[in-house]
Amino acid sequence: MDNALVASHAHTHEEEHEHVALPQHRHHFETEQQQREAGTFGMWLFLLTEIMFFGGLFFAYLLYRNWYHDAFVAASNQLSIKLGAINTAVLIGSGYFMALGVWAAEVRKKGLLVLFLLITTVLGFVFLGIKYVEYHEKWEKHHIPGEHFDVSEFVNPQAYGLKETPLAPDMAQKTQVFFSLYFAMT
Amino acid sequence: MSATTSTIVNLPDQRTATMPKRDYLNNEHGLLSWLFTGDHKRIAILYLISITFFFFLGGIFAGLIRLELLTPQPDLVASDTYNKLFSLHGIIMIFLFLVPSVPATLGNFLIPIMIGAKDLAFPKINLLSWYLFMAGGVLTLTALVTGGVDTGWTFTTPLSTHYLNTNVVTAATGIFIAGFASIFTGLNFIVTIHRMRAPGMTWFRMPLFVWANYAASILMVLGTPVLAISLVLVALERTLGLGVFDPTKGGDPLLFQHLFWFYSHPAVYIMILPGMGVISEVISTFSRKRIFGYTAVAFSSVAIALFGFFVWEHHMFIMGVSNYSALVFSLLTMLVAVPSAIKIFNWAFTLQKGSITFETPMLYAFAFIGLFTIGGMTGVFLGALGMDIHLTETYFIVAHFHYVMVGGMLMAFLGGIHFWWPKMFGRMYPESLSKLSAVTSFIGFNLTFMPQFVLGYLGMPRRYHAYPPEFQVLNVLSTAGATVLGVGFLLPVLYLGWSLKYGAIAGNNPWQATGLEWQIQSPPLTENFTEIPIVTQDAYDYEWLANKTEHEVTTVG
Repeated sequence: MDNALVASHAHTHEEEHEHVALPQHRHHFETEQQQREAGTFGMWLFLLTEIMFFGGLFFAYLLYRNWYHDAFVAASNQLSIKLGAINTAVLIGSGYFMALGVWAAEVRKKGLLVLFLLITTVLGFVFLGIKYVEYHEKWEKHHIPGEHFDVSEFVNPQAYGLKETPLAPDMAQKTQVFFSLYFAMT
Repeated sequence: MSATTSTIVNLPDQRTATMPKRDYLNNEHGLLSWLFTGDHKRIAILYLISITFFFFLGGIFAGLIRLELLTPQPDLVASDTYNKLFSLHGIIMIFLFLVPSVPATLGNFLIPIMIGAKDLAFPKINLLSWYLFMAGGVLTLTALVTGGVDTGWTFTTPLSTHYLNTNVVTAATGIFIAGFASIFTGLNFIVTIHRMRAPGMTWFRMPLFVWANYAASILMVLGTPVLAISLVLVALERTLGLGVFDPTKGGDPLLFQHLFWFYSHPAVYIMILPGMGVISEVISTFSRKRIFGYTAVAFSSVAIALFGFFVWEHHMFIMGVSNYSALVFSLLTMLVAVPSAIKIFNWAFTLQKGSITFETPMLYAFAFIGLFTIGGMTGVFLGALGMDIHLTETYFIVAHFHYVMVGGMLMAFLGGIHFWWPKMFGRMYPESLSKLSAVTSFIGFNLTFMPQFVLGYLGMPRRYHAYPPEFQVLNVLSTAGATVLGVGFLLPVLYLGWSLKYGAIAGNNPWQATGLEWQIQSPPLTENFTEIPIVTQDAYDYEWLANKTEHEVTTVG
């Protein structure tokens, strides 16, 4: 009964083929299972390209961390683990609600879909807010790579009330690579 | 069927033949029906038009470069302009023509049909890919008209990040976006080939064209993102002053080289593999034989793709990399010669005792085999560590990669376009004129690039617009050759355009080829097949085709 209704709808739609039952079924797939498998496969393949995309950055991080170990240790201690952890949870949460949104669309629950999309958006803004706090701190401390970059906090940590081992000025300069990667990756 | 041995072309009787009433070209009308199409065949045509435009644009730059090099003095253009000319020639030809050339046009058109599917797995992503390609192309054109870019196509740091005041960011953004077009094409092909094959179409029944494009797709999907991230870092370094490649901030410019060539060497195989696929189809059809060592040829495509990821450092032998790693990369580079040779030898064995005929696509295929072999062998010279120090950054390299890319890939592309033209548009091109243009390109090509091998060996560096007077004779020969080559490339545009309206009607299978694409009407229906075929025969099974034809005659007659 349900199928018949949708099938008659398909006639009016240019792209749909006559023998197709469900509206989300595209004309060029033989079966619905084939379509689902192709979709899943395509998604994982795209995620693989993302690994290669960020792989370049991870590789750069690995390389420079080995070269400038002390500078990377000192610079990474500047990051707030608490804010970073919260933001990771926020991101995973928004991804989770987006996935729920896809499920809601599949079972055609429009209200739920809108709700999940809204939550995803809100979490997106929460992420940006926390990011603002983090970036703002880097800005005030002159830890943004470029002309105004300032290494005094790494050369003379005691003066800033930090318990870090002081870095030689040339090694302290390498913290700039760390922050370059930090900003490029986040 | 006539008993002539000189040709296998089998056209329907022209007095009674008609074009199909309904096909993918006349199914819908108007510009919008093209711009919003999901049909892989129409998207292939969109790509064909766009890359032809970019090809001739890049060709104009090549012409200007050769014109400048006619005389030893820098007299036609200023040094800066010359830098922009060769940069834009490289950027346009590589990213906007060669990378999408065969996959996005012929691959897009043929892969679904060859494996018995109605379309690619994701038609909308396919269309998106074309729009991304166009966006990338428009951005590159913007960089061009707002003052050009002069980094060379390699965007080498720190030249590109610190020392140039041209439109590096615009051009890099263009390439970044066009890169995603390539990723989406590759992704679509891989999913389609895995999930959409018709019943009975097993992996080892697929035409070798599909195998070659599959291997190239793996490279597109895995390699292009790395190019994308390295260009992002260059752009961030220019705009925000990040220091990942900047030695004054602790970065290392050599890291850029590693990331860039990690894509850009495999990119060479992205460009050449689909061309090799075309050659397999053409050679088989015009020698009436199954490709000798089908499995070996299929796996050699995958092997080239695999090895292609482990040779990138051979672009950096003189840049201060460790001697030990250079040794390893030199050996790995030599390894690529093995699967390439497997292909060449297997094509040669296919020809042996075949009923060879010399139609235009076959002429291009012969040109490919000869020129690609020269290009490949000179690649072995460059892979050898000692030779490379002498030859690198000279015209020897320029000649080498033009032998592979133009002599190999472009010949394969033109051969493929001629071979499938009757399928794409239902009409034949003029045979004698096209043979003339194939021979013209072959002569012009060798005249252009053979002298460059000598020039490079004698020590003429690349990327300079002035040279010592004793090099002039060879440079004049090269420029003369480029003119002939230009004629050879212009002719097909003219007569192929003419044939769209006035060409002889081709019928379903003018070459009597075995592929599934030749068993349906030309031009095909939007849905390709009225009924999904059930495949019972291997690829290139000419007996099956003969039986099938006989059967059709008895039932109809």
